[in-house]
Amino acid sequence: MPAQPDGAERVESNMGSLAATLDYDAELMVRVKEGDGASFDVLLEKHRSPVIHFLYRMVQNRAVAEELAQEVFLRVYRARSTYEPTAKFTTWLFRIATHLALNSLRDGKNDRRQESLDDDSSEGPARQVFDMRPSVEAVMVKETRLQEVRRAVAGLPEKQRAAVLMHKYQEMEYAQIANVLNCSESAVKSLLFRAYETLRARLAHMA
Amino acid sequence: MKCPMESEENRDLLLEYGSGERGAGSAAFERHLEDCSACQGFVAGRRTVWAALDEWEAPAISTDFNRQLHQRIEQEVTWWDRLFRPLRPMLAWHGLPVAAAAGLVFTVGVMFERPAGVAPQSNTMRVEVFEPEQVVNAIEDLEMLDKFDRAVRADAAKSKL
Repeated sequence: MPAQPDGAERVESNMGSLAATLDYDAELMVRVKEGDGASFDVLLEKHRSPVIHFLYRMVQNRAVAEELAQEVFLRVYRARSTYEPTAKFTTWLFRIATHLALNSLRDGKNDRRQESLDDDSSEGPARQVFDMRPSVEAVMVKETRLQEVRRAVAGLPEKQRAAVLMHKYQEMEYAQIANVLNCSESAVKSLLFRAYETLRARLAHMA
Repeated sequence: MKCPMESEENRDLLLEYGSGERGAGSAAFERHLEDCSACQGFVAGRRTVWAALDEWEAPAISTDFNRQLHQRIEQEVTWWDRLFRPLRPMLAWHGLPVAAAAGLVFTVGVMFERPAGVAPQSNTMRVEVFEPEQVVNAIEDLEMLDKFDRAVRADAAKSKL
């Protein structure tokens, strides 16, 4: 995450980065609106991983995350004819993703989540660990730590979880997270502060 | 400086410092940090959390994700969209010239069809309606004439021999 000086400077830098990045994705989306399917593929290629990874960490189930990500991009495609580049494309994208993830969590669609938390060895890059031939003990320690992290994040209230994931993994600014979650910037800071306090308490033994 | 643990005023400095970021205001916060055990605890804990979250990698994405998505998109595309899909980029980029050319062709066509100075004969259009039986009879008559014509030609050829 880039260094953020004081409030005023950060707002200015946000505006600058917004102007710089708004155009490319938004321009691509405008082309999609005009019927250019190739531009949609470019957007998909660029944002597929961040969206799926965000959704995976939200619902903690790969199959559900991919299903939701399909729905996110399908909604983007459906909305192409009415798209207006009034905000940053990723803000819009993550707003859809967050909305779907929260709905999924509330509907209990990912009931397999707990199952995946208990037995997640088939998912994720843990498989890659075997290439480096660590000891069985090391693998088990790493797996235990990962499960603790996943449980700690899963235990956060939904909005705090979304805020932490966007802040930590998507490296979003407070203003953008606020836009995605439809709340104020100070509310985001408060959400993050409480979330990190909770995580700190739950993961303190990992220091 | 107010303690960020007690007031929201400098909370972003606390959040950022825990992520290892340094910006304007960091110097003042660092001075505060030297004497504040609450903030020291938060920063240390925050770094632990940050490091723990770093360990959590997301799984690889299914190889057929794009194919499945395109399949779903394709199911939503109407036959109308499919028909005009090849023309879309052309219409999007060259819509105006194409429309202008089409308009020009139409105008020229109308002028040739009705040269200047010749007034239309009537403002009403005459429409002839045929009954199906009339059409069948006409076709049968034509076939009969065709057979007759062939028979006459055959007779003429025999007489020449």
